[in-house]
Amino acid sequence: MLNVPELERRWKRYRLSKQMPYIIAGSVSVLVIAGVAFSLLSQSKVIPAVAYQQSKESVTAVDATAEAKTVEQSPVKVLRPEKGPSENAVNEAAGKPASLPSVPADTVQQNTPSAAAPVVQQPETKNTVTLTPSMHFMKDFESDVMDYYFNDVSPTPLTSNQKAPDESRDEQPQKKALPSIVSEPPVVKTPTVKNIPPIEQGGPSPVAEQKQPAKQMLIQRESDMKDIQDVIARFKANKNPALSLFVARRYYDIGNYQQSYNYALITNELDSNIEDSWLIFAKSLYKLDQKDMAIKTLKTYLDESGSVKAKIVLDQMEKGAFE
Amino acid sequence: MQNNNLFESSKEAFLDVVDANAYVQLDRVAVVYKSLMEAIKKPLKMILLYGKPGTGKSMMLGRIYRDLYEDQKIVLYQTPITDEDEFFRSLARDVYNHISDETINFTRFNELASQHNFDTTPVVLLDEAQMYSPALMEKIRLISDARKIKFIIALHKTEKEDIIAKEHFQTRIWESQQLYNANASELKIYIQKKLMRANCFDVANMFNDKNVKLIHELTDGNYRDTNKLLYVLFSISSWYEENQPTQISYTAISQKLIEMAAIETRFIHA
Repeated sequence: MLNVPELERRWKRYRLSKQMPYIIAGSVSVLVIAGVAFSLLSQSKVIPAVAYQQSKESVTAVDATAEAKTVEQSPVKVLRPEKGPSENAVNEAAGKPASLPSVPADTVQQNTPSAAAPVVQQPETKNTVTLTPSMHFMKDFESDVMDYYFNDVSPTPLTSNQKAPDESRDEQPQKKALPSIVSEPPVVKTPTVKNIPPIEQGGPSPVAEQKQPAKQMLIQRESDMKDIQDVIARFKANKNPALSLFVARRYYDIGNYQQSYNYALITNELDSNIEDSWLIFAKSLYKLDQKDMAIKTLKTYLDESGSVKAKIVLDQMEKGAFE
Repeated sequence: MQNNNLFESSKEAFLDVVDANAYVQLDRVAVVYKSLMEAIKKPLKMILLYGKPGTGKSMMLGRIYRDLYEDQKIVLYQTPITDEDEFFRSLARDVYNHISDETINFTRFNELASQHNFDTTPVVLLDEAQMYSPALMEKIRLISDARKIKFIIALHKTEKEDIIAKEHFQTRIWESQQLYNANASELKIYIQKKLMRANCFDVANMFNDKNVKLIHELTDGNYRDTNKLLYVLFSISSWYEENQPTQISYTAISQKLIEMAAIETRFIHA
């Protein structure tokens, strides 16, 4: 006698066992497909994130390089606002050795450019960018001062006097007409070079040595020298006037006025339109007790360019108030 | 009495009995039948019909017996007679109408055979011939060689029995025919013919190629196994029709029922 219900249960078990391989294979295939799809999706999510990160980094790098170029090409504009406290501290330390011990070493270290100058200066340049409004203030201030000087002190022979304030903001137009120091009359250049003895690389000048006060300053100078040597090496490689100008300014900052004079002269020979090369050249002469030559150089430059900065520095030198 | 259950009469059609009237003529089997009938007319000593169990050897012998019974002397032994004395006694009675209580051995049977003459050599059909002893088979061969009786021997074609057949009959058998399992199309014809003979036309139409293919896979086309499977299949169908008629389809035989029948008949081990 057939037991059909029991037979039906056996048949269900049989069907289940027969279909089990297909169920397992289907499940495995579904899991594999899901896994592959998930990995593909996760990769597609990671790639944009990485691309975004890379683009972000590249943008940052571009900003950094751009800012570094800004620092190198127009160091005065960039560094002036932020070097106030630090350089003042350094200058004060250089001029007043007795007060040096009170200057914290960290402050000196932070304000001292390291071997990797662009990298170290990135945060400073970023701060400079954020301080851009103060630059306008300085330019406005300079233009006001320029107006004062042009109206009251000296009527310049240049016909472009009225444009001087604008040109001080945009240096490109006025630089086109500028002669280099080499092309200057021998009265300006030759005596200066002859009067100054040959300068050794990194060798401290007598004047600088007189102002070298203490160990803390020596530490700073070692760091400065390392930084400068690095930039000099780069300058020798590509003859970029921005680098020589940077070296000149750095030498001037640490009190090595002979080297700052040399590199300002080199910068000017490479590109006579760089205003800071004239200014550092003149300031270095002033510090080297060549006050007359410095004033003469500035006047020559001022006659050609009508630079506001040159006018200010010249006025300070003539009044003996330049420090 | 009219059976109201659709599948009951179908079930009865697949009872595994050797009935020459239920013989289903298929193309390939028809060729074998025709060859055997022609071989019987020839002056052959012995004819061998072999094949796997369930391929229709017994049905073939039954069909031959039925067809020749009225025309000539023909005897069918569906069950082997292994005892030699009984075998010769049965043979003398059925062929020569010699009824006696005396012991009939091989010599006595030859004497009886020489006393009777027939226009057509009597035919003796021995089914399940593999059951006979070699000594008796040797005497059967000698009787055939004397052309007193023409034997048609049906035996299973297993590997071992094939060797035995060759040893005994290789030089003596002039005609041999082999029966095979049915292929799918033959099996479909076989099933449908059986059902139509039982007047189960509706059920016969419920078998499609897919059903028959599954049945063929389960039974390998063996007629006996197919009969067994279909008998159980219709038994299950009959149960569903009586108890859960909504669970079965009347348009096609479901695969479920076939597999259930296969589980019951052990063609599927579940």
